Amino acid sequence: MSQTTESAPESRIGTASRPLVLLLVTSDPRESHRPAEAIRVAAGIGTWKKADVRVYLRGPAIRALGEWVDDLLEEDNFTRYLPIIGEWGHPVWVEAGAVAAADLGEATTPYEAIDDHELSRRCAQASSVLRF
Amino acid sequence: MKHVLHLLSGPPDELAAKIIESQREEGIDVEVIRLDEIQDWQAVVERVMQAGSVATW
Repeated sequence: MSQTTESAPESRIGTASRPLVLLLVTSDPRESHRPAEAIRVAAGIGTWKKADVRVYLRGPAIRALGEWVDDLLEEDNFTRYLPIIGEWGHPVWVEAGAVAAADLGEATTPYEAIDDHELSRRCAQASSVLRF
Repeated sequence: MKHVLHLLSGPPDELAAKIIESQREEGIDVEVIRLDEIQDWQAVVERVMQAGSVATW
């Protein structure tokens, strides 16, 4: 189900006991395997509950949340691992105002649109920021 | 204050530059290391160990 939570952003992320790991995904999943790999890595790290993992999608990477991912490289990673990330109880973050968000159809995972200023703040809160 | 370390493989692209600039404007303690210019890797390791946040670009 598609959800945006712009009116109720996460006010507190990460915990004192668990580091926050933020994956920034900006590459185009139609041309690069990196977005699919990022989703697989996020699900893999988060499943161990040793870190709070968040995923941020920017530009064409937002297509990963779409109803139709047939044209994306390694699309199985999106259909297999995004539901796992969605079960963690917090939305995937996406670039506010991105054109790609308009073409998602019924998004497969809840997401929250955040602007670049908010992104920089959340990056500073993270223990680790990884770019894909 | 949390120390934020940005590790860049080269010149910052648009997003990296925007994030770094925004964090500096927020008064966050930001350090940028260009890995393509590094001679002393031990110093980099030490900076990473001391940082509260590490971003790799």
